[in-house]
Amino acid sequence: MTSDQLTRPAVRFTGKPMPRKEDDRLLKAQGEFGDDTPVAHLAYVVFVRSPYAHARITSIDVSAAERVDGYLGCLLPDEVEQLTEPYVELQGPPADVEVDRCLASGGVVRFSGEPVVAVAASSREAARDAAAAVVVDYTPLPHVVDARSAVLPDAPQVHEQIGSNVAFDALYDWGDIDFALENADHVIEVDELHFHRFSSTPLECGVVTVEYDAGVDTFTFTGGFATPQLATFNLAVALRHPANRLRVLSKDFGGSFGVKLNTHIPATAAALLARKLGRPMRWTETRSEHHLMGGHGNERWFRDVKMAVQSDGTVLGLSYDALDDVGAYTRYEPLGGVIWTQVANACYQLKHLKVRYRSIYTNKGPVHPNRGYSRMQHMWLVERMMDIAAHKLGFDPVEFRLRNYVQPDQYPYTTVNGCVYDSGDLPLSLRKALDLIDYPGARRLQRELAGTGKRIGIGIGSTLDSGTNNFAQARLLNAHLPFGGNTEGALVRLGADGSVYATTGGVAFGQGHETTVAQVVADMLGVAYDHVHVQRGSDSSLSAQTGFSGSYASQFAVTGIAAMINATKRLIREISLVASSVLKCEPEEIELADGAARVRTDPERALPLAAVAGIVHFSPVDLPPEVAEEVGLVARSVYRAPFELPDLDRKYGNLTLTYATQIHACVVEIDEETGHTKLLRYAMVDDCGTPINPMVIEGQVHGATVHGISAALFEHFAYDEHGQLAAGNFYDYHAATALDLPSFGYDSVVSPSPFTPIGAKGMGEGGGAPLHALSAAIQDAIGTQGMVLASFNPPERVLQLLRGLDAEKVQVLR
Amino acid sequence: MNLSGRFETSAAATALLALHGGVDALAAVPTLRDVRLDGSGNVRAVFTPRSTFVPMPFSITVAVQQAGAEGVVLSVHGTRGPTAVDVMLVLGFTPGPQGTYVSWAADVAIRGPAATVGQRVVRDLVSSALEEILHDTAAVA
Amino acid sequence: MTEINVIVDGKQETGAVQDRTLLVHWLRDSLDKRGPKIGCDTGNCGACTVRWDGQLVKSCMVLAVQADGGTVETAASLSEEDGSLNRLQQCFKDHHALQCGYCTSGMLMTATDFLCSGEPVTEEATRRALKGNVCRCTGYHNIVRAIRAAAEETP
Repeated sequence: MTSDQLTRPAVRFTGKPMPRKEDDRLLKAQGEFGDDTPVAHLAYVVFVRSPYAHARITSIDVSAAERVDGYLGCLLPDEVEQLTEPYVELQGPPADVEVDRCLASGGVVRFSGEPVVAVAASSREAARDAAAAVVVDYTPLPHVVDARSAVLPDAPQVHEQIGSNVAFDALYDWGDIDFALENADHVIEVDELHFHRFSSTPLECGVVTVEYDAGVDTFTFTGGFATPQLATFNLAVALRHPANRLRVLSKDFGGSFGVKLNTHIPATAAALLARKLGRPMRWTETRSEHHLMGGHGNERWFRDVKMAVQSDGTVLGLSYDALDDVGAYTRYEPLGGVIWTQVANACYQLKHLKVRYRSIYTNKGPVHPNRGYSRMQHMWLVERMMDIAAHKLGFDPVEFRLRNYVQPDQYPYTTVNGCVYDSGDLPLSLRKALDLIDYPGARRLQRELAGTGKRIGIGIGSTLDSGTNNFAQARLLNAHLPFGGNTEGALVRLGADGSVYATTGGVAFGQGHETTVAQVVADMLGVAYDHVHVQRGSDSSLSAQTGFSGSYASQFAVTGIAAMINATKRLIREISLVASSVLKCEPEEIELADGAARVRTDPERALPLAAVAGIVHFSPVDLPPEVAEEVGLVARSVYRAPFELPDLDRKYGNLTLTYATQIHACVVEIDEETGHTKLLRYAMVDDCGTPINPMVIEGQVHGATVHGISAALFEHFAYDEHGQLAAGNFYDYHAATALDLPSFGYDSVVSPSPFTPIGAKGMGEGGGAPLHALSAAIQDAIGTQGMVLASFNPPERVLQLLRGLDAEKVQVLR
Repeated sequence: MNLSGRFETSAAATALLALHGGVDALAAVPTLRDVRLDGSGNVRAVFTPRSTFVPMPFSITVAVQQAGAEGVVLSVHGTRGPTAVDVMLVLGFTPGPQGTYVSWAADVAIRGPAATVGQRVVRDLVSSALEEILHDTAAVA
Repeated sequence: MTEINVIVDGKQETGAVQDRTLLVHWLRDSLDKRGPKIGCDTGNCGACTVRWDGQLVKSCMVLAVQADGGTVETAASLSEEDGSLNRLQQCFKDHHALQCGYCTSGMLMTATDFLCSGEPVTEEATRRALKGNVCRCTGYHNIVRAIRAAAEETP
């Protein structure tokens, strides 16, 4: 099977908006989510959490919990210190001495919401009552909630043994920005910009069920594990338990968007309780708990930002100082400190880029990867600077972007740091987006409404969705990390009845993997779409997985599908061997179509796949021995993404395989009296190469769009001066509803990736384009009387902008 | 969060001052139970405010920071599950026609998940819980 | 413990519940009804939406004892008798109005109620009807389209 074959007329499903295989069970309330599964003898775990941002634990009294009916037992920090290893830290010295466990370690709590005691009881109610009855006494310690304060010399220390609050400190310097800033026609300087803290807050919070089978000394974990093999590895280390006696399962799960990469942490506590108390344990996170500890997106301060621009509108490059607030523990961090460099150039032909990047501990909830992980922060900054430069220097914002975009004839385009943008057509994408919002009409409306108390603003957001990581980028963080490249696995088999079974190493939480896998496999095997059964969820014991397996970082359309294609090719070879020996021809003469293996030149000579399966499974004597011994009708294969190790000294090399692009354009109306931002028109143009299922792609784009819109206008994990989260539920953290949003305009451009088996690119994260577009639109409505230097712009901030907020922080040096 | 209030009680200021350490008297307050003195001389008790929607027993520790004829400064620390309340409570006593005017000012910090809810409803809840316990305590003086 | 008798999805069910047991917990934990889901603690997300005596409610805001003697319909009752998708469900599938599926049962219950209400199914009215149901995957665009398509197709 070659990529050509997938585009031949015989391709019936790939590329089509096939209805999803997942839908019937979900629509009929027959899905099986984490908290759905009935388990005999199940007990429930509830965590007692710290109310303090930073404090020493002085005493723990569980006596009142013991009197609660149904109480079974508890897990205390001392026990965890004895029974577990700290989780593996990715950073090098000095912050590698951070100690992170499933319960507060070292007698200190470091953020409000940190688990201190885990209580188990025979019912949900008893577990909650018992947890509420536990009394923990604390001596408060000084806390720090602002990364800018955390780097001051006398700042309270989140992890005393490290000696500072800096988890990672790197200087990236590509090109010669100092020369550019000295010699450019114009230099724009901005004192400080802020990308705020939010997360995708999946509707299903964390949930994990742990069963311990003492007879075989094996733990089975069922729940939302976005990276099952990494979770297995983390659990094995933490529990000091052989990895081959851990099984990690996922069934249906209600969204991850990255944040469920760290389910192993609460799972560790549940596992210890399951083994100690001899009962299956389930932990079901509440919404408030999820907001406290379920994973926040990276909050980032950009300081001392300078951009060099020529008088013809060419942007030469920029420099800035980043303080990335990772919260109290580095739980995938500080990988964000290198992951942003996948999109160092953003969408532009920058020649020079210099960034000092520091990951900073604060007494806040830990940061997890979150849709657009670490790249959207940088791209927001670059888009903001493009926009600010256009406004300040008098360039048309559309023309300014068009001039500086990477041009279609420049692909494959090598960025300042050696990443290779594979394909795209940004100018066409922008023109399509502007058509969808009727750009000239919007400008007319803007002029008409001037002075009426309503202001129109038009904004553009240009982003990349980099997918398929080269894990060697972890070595830019810490040269000793043993990671490099990327793989995914797949299993395809022909059952005894001739049915096709496919298992991917990936884990789906709404992306429709069962659907896209079936489309590709059905086409390759020439069977009906309904004839392919795709395993729901994931199972670490099914050996479809590789170390990197899972769903994250916009990669399934490349890694998951490519592994499936490789496995299916193997199965086709086996089917061809069997069929050719029965049909008395050469294996190369066999083609698969209409559910049968047949001779290409004589289609009447055909063997149905059910017959192929029947012979192999039940009547191998009919086969020549060399075929019978070769063929098992179970094909496993791995896709290996073509990567090399980057040059660690220069921090130079290709870090991701594909770059989907998304260009958004919007028209907003701002009410001068209330500061309310109303979306009048919103459009997005996606380019993720050759589509497998355009319906699924459009759905992903819609979802990423609303995450971005909601983050830009409504969502903020704000902390008060006591280090308390002010947005611990869906009242105070407003996830956009249907009523907050318009319908969308959508279009696509198809620039096949030259680097992937079928030209598809990973997509789904979206790059945070709405944050960029809305910041730009609000700026456009305000003019330059106030400057939009924050990604979060609720009505109160818009009112301040109208009164000149932050205007003084932007200077045109020349 | 700063709260304040004032009420009149028939007890004399000296009787009010004597309450601290008067574990038996405090045990008579209907919303307090398990009243005891701990090793540091602080009062420990379980306080179940009447003003909450469902019974919410808080474990509290009361420490006297300052005491004089004109008033006292108390630090009150309460916890229940993931919620902690810290109150720095300044009580002023002035003689009144029926006994003593008690004026109070509280600096309240709410910690844990209640901090979020606190933005909207906890001000009223804490205010009424403080009013209630001060009234009840003065009544047993 | 209080004994309750409730007709759930057409079947008489009997349960013994604590006074504080929420209807959603009883439906899920005792009856294994997987339609109502829990997505928040505060009645905001709508994932637990059911019909109770014909009225649309969030089942996390109702005590199980309150439902005694009443009738509850969950999303498990929506499909046709032969198990095939009903018109609304089919429109959700055709328009890709679900991704992870966690909010879907609540969305279907709200949409069913809205379509029965007689209110004209305009874009604005549909969005207003859905404002108590949070979806974090789809961006609502396709949910609105699916509901409006179901309204058009209703004879």
